[in-house]
Parts: sequence; structure tokens; C-alpha cells
Amino acid sequence: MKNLIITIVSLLFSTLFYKQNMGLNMLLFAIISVIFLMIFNLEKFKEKATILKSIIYIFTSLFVFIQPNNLTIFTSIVSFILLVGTVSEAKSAIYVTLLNGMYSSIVAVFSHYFDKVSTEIEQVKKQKTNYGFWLKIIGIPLLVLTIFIGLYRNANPVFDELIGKIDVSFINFQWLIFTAMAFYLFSNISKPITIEPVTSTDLKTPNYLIKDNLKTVSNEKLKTENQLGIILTILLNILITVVLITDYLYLNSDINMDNVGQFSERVHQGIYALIASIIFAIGIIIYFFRGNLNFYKHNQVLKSATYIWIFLNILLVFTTVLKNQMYVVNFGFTYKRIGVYVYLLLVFIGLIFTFIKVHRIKNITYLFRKNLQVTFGVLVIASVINWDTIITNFNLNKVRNSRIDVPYLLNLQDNITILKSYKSNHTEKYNAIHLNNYPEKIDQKYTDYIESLGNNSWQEMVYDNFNN
Amino acid sequence: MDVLKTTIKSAFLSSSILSAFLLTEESRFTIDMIGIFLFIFMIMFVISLLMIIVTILPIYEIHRHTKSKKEIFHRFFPYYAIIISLVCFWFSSSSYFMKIEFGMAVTTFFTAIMAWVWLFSPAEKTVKKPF
Repeated sequence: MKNLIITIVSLLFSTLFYKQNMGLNMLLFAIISVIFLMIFNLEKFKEKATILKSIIYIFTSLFVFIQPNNLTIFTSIVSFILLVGTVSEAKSAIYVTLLNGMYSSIVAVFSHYFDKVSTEIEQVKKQKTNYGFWLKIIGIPLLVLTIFIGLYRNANPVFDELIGKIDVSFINFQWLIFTAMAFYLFSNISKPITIEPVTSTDLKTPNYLIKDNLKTVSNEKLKTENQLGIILTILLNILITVVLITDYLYLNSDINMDNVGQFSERVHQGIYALIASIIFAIGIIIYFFRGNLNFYKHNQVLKSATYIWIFLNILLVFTTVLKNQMYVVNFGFTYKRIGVYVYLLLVFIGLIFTFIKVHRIKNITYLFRKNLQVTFGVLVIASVINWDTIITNFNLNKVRNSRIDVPYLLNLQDNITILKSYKSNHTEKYNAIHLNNYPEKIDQKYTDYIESLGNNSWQEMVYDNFNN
Repeated sequence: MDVLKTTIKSAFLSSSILSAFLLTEESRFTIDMIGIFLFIFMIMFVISLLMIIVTILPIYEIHRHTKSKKEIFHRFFPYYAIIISLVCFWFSSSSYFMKIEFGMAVTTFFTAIMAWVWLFSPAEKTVKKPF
């Protein structure tokens, strides 16, 4: 029964994906996968976490149908892995769930097979079919026969013609391999497994530090470490204050925006360096508050200096946002500039969690768990937003005409209807700007887009198929 | 740990998978295919041997005195499987899933995984029967 279900689902998978682009098929696959997982793991679907992950998976796959692009496809695949991992163990941290999901999807069948073979061999000296015997009985005659058929075909033209009439071209081997891979995937996820001892260790690990579990450190050593921490943090606070003052002066100075290359380079280099420094700062805080120093009686000064440092780092995040904002206002959005915002958002959240970690004596596992949860949340939200539309609308409406990078806009995937509409409706306004230097390209891209929509098979259908 | 036996099995498995990918475009059987298969087998034997010696045996050698084969398998196989699958996926995607490259990635993946199972399964103590 199990194999029959897996075979049917594999055939459906082939029908949906064999030589097809992504679209409606991802959404249908998500629904099929959830039903499939439910059939074999009904108990697991009584847990809230599994239901939530199923909804997220179907939701993210819906957005592959609405706006198929690399980000939505990637998010949908990550959600699938996360769902499989949740079915294997719902209570583990997100990174362990991802590992379990990957492991289950990739090799669960082999792991089950290994366990079965090992158990059988360990338990009994079981009588077993001699595969070597069967290989000799079937394999050797088959090989010899094949060689002789080849030889006789070369020697006898009539025999060659007779054998040549045997046509196996009706069998599509590529399709067979594809379906076999699907069968393998569904066999894997039918019974998801966990990686041990990582999963059990994770389940046992709380989010907070337990004093009794820490290695005993002498008071003298703690005192020295506390002093080192105080000196280092105060010096870093002074340094970051100076950086913030110079940043303030820079932001209030008369910045020459006409030299695009120079400004761009300065902003990019500055932003990367700042992000790296903030991550480094989190690392230093984690180092000092990794263990016993959290429970040290005289750690108030270090804690206060750390809180100030976290606060100043948050200010640094905001000044970096302002710099990026200046760049965006003057030259428009690009994926890279949006990426900077996303990094800064994640760094900001990371700093908040670092504050909570120090304040409430949490452990490093807590930081990993929370930050990765937030990262996944941001990924899901980011995949829901149609960035191409936002970038195009913003750049065409808010950026000075001479600075609009039309070739960049033309390279985006999902904005041709906006470009076409602008070209038609704003002829006068855009007569003098770059957009009208590319009328043929816009027309060509629009024609190609409409043609590709028309050529979509039912598996590849996207939202625009119903909208145009 | 029977490295030679596993290498022969791995070479046979990898040759079969790779041949399936390479030879399936032909709709009729030709004598050359046997030669191609034997050629692939020889290459795969060397590759399988190297893969086992370089990527799997060191893990076994480091932990053989403190852990049983089964323990080593359960402890390290998941990470090995995840890493090798990511490498194979990266290799396939960077070549835009072209047939030969995809075939090589699939072959490498399944051969490496089966090599683990063969190498770490306890020695059989079975009484073999023909039927």
C-alpha cells in the first residue's frame, strides 16, 4: 500500500515538474506533499508546530505561483525542508529542524536500510537469499548473450536487421530517471528521521544558563576577566562614540552626489565595514558573557558598559540606514541596496537579542535559536513582497530622471507591465529621459513576456496568466 | 572493514548509474556499449577507491578505537550525506543541470551514500540459500 501511494505521488511529481518551469506546479506539489506527509505521519500533524509549518509551506508556494522568481522558489524549498524536519521532531530548534529536514529528504531510506541490515545481522544468523548466486545465474549468461548478439550482428546482416527492428525508443529513460528520483524523495520523506545526538541534545538544552552546569572558575580569574571586559568595553564605547560623531558630521556635510562612482564606493565600503564591526561586537559580548561572568557579583559595571555599547551599535545601525537611504533617494532602489536594509534589520534584531541574552542571563543557544527564527521569518516576508514592482515604481517616480538606470530596470523579471504602462502614459514626461531611449527594448520585452505567458503549460501557469 | 569489496561494489554501482545516464540516448543496443561500460567501470573503480580512502576511511580510523561501526555511522553519516548532497547540487546547478554533469552528480551522491552503508554494516553471519 505504501509503495503504491509513493508510486502514484511520484507519477504526479513527474507530471508536474518534468521539463517544466516553476509556477502552479510548486503550489500543487506543496499541497500533495502536505497530504502525503499527513497520510504517513498523522500523529505529528496534531502538533501546532507542524500545522504552522504546513501553512507556511503552502503559503510560500502560493507566492511561487503569484510571482515566480528565485527568492520565492528558494523560500518554498526551505519551507519544505523545514516542514519535513518538523515532522521528524517538532520541538527542536530551527537549525536542528533544518538539518533533520535535509537529512530526511536526502537519505532517510538509506539510514532505515542501514538500521534494518544492522539489526538483522546482530539479532540472528538469518537465512538469506544468496544474491551472488542469482547474479551468477542471471548476470553472467546475460552478459555472454549480449556479447554474442553484438558479434553475430556484426557478422550477419540479416540477423543485424532483425535485432535492429527491436525499437525501445518509446521508453523515455530521462523521464524514468526523473520519476525514480521522485520515488526516492517521497520514500525518504514518508518516514522522516532525526540526527542524533544533535536533536536529543537540543531538546535537553534550555534557553538560559544554569550556574550549576558551568565549570567552576576561581574568583581571581573571574575578577581578571571582568576587569579586561570593562577596559575593553569602555575603550570600544569611546571609539564608537567618535565614529558616531564623525558619521553625524559626514551626514550633515554637503555631500557631492554627482560623482556617482565615488559616492557609491564610499557608501558600500562603509556599510560592509559597519556590518562586520557590529557582528564582531556581538561576538565579543557573547565571549565575555558565555559563562561564569554572568553570575559574578561585581559585574554591574561590565553589564552597564555592554548595554551602552549595544545602544551605540544600534545608533550605528541607524546612521548606516541613513547613509543607505541617501543613496536610495538619489539613485533609486536596487536589490543590493534592499539587501543592505535587510542585513541591517537582521543586525538590529541580533543586537536586541544580545541585550536580552546579557540582561536575562540566556545562553548562546538562545541567540542562535532566536536569530535563525527571525531570519526565516524575514525570508518568508521578503519572498511575499514583489520587489521588482517596488523598485520600478520607486525609481520611475522618485528618482531624478537623469539618474534612472533603465538597463537595470529592464533586467528585472517582473516589471515589464509597469514599464510598458509608463512608456504609454507618460510620453511627454519621459520624452527627455532615459526610458524613451529604450522603447524598442521595452516593446520587445513586453512581447516576449506575453508570448511566454501564452506558451505556459498548465503546470507552468502563473498568476499573470489569469490576469492578462 | 572491507575496502576492496566496497570499492568493487561502488565501482559497479557508479558505472551502472553513469552508463544509464550516458547510454540512454541510444535507442538500440550496440556492441560498443559493453566496451564503454567496461571503460567507465575502470575509471569508476579508481574514483571510488580514492573517494573511500580520502573521505570515509579517515573518519573511521579516527574513531575506530572509541566507537563501534554503527555508532560512527549514526554520528557522522548525516553530516557527510548533507555535505555531499550540497556539493553535488552545487555542481549540477552550476552546470545548469546539463545531462552529463547531472548524471555525474547523481552517481557520486548515490555511490558515496551506498559506500557508507556497505563499509559500516556489520559483517554478515548468514547461511546463504539459493532460493
